[in-house]
Amino acid sequence: MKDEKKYRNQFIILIGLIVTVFIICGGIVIYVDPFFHYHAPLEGFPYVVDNQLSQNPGMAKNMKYEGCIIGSSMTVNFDTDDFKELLDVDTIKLSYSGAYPKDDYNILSIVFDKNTNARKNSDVKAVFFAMDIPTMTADTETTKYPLPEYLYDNNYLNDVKYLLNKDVLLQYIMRPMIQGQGSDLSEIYASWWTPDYYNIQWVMHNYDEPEYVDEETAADALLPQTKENLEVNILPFVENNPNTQFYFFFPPYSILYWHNVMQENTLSATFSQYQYVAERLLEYDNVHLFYFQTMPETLDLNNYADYTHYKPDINRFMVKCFSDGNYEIHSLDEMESELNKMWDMIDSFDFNELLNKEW
Amino acid sequence: MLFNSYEFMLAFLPVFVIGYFIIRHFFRTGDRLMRLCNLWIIAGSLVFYALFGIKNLLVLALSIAVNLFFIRGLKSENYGDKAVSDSFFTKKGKQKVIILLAVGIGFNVLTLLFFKFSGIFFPIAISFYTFNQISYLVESYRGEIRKFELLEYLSYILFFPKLLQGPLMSYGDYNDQLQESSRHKFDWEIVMRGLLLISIGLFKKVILADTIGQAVDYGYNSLATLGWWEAVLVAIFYSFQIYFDFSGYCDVAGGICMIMGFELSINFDSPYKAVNIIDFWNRWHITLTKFFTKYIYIPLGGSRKGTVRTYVNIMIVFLVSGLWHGSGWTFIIWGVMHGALNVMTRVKEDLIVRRQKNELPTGESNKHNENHTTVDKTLICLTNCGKQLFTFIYVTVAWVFFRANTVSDALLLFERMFSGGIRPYYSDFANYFRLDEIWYVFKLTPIVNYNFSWDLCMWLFLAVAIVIVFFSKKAIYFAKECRISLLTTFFTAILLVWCVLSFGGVSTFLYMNF
Repeated sequence: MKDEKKYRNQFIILIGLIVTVFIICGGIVIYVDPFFHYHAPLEGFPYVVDNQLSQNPGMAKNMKYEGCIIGSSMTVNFDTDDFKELLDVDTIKLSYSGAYPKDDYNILSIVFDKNTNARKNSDVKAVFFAMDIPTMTADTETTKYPLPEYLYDNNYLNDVKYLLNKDVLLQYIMRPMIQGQGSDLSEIYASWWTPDYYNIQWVMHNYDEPEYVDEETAADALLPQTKENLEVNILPFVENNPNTQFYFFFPPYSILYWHNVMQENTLSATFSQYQYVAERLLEYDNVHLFYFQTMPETLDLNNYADYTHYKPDINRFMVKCFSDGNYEIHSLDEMESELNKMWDMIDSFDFNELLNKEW
Repeated sequence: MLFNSYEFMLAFLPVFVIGYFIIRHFFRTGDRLMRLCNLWIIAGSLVFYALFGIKNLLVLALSIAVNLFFIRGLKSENYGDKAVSDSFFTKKGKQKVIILLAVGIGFNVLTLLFFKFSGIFFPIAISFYTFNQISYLVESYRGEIRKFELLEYLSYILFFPKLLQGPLMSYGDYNDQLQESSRHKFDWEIVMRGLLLISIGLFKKVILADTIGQAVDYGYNSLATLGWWEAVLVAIFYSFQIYFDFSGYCDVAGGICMIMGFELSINFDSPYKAVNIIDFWNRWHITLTKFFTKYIYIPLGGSRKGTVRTYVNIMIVFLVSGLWHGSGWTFIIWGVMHGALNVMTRVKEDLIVRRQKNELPTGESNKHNENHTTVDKTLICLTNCGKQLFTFIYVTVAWVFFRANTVSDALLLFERMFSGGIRPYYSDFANYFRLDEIWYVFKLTPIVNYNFSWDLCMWLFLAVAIVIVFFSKKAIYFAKECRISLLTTFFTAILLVWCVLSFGGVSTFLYMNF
């Protein structure tokens, strides 16, 4: 009996200890909230923002902003200070590297959710959206990476995965506290390539040429999936938010991207996709469409770190264009003319010389 | 759901165990108690399994439905109640039952093969519950199951602590244990011991196996650039990863059952302490070895049909074991390696037995053994250490094929061991062991100023793994025998908190995919 009491007391001590530690850990996470899941950032806390999947939904929900950047790694080198300076829009970066349309849908759903603190503070003035044509054939319900669902839903029960999480406590609360330095929100998610990496030797040395596909993809083969993605994951936000200005842009991939397209034998199909997407987007008054792929910089691989990723100077240039309307497409004819220009650029570019050289 | 998940540890397990205790408290004896215990186990296990997704549940339901048909068939022939040799059965009836049993086993085997090789999807735990189904059918046929009870059958197949990775228990053992468990009175001491065992199991899985697993994954994804010692460490660490993964699972399952007053069949018994490969298979996945022995080796003739046939049968068993673990040449090679050494060990043992018979008259051998000097004992000890080391190295080499995606990947790893050259400090491989909670402690000391500090966490993991694997007592014995004190209470609390806070990462038990 005496022993029984002793073991019962030890059990109570055990449970008491565990519950106490859990309450302390959970309390710290709720208070600091490094993923901004519950509230806006604390004044003065050096938040580290480096996790797109985990931190984007919280930022979209609880930060103050008037505009947001949506899209893949084509958007990570934007500096949001440029948007403030050139367009006078307080902008937040909500990029997902390799984003599929479903990723864009998920984050835009939060951005336009009227019940969030962000929307209670201000409306969305502008959305800057990188339209990556290659991802438009993705499944409409598939995200690039599995999401930490507990940060995307409204179920408080599964928040335990956030509250009792060693990585959150040590990497996002303790480490920044010790180091005393957080992220500069205007430059978060910037790619790891330093300026030295943006050169043709690096690009060509690491370039893997795709196998040539014998059978050509029909010109209209990619359109049904592109249409579905537009209608399911993108256009509803444009339609339902007529007061928000949507700046869609086709990112300036390098000329080498087009070589991949030719190797995959999807050139006509890809051009059709561009034309179709432009056609659908231009139906809306609140859409501004930009086609940057005919920029002369795309021909010089010294502006790139691989066959698609351009250097940060080009990001700033694009913001300037959003401001002054350079490279903007206003009609289907203009789009057709730009695509013809693109066709000529591909046609006249000497891929053999580029590819046969020893890098 | 997985044992190492928030849902399981913070919600499912407490609710299930408390519910089980309540049933036992209010219904002390009788059939009603057993029915309720079985119902609670079935309901809990279904919830546990359903969280893996509806597809998995449907396959399990189909397996149960079809097997119920066969079991009913066997029962309707009135065969479940009597031994096969009973004379009152007609010849026709006998044939019908044998056909029914053969079709039943065939269905289970084909289902398993279909999901294993079709590439559609692989239902979680199908290998284990299919083997339990086969075992139940055979026991029914042999008359070892006197009476068919639906609830007991479902409880046997679904019981969640053994559903995902075994152990494979016979229906009789399971039922005896459940009856024993239902008679248990609530005991705080047992609860504390069970929690201690669960915490040790979680530590092995979450802290050791999963951390090591990340480094091993890195190694196998970067084979071409590994230095020689990295290649060696990748192979050794995988041996530890799979050990802690499986051992951790067994300990958590054992801990849950201990709290319930239920004893699972021992499935894992310090396998790297084995002195030869036969000993290894008597310690690693023990119930699987017994299953293959009972249902493949013995029906093939076992050792009754001559020496050569015995060796062939052993090779067949290990080939099947290889294919059971996975499809592809890597698993076949793994099976053949184990089978081959098994055969060689038996050949050697047979020779020794024969030589001893020829050399020593009866009784002489024992007398000789009794007269060991200290030098003899030291020599025996050293020989055993050498044998252990050889077995461990051989098993580790075989694990390389087991883990590698292709045979050429496995060969590349071996090649890197001899041609990789020395990599400098600050290797990415070592970086995977630098858990923040450990590294921050090192950072408070001057150790961090030295070059070797980068690799320190990795060596620490290696040292802890070696101590646990080769020198420590089996966790279940430790949990049963240690004195429960404030110290063990703190130890349990620290491990549980550490593991729960570490659940955030993605991890799965390796043996669940088989």
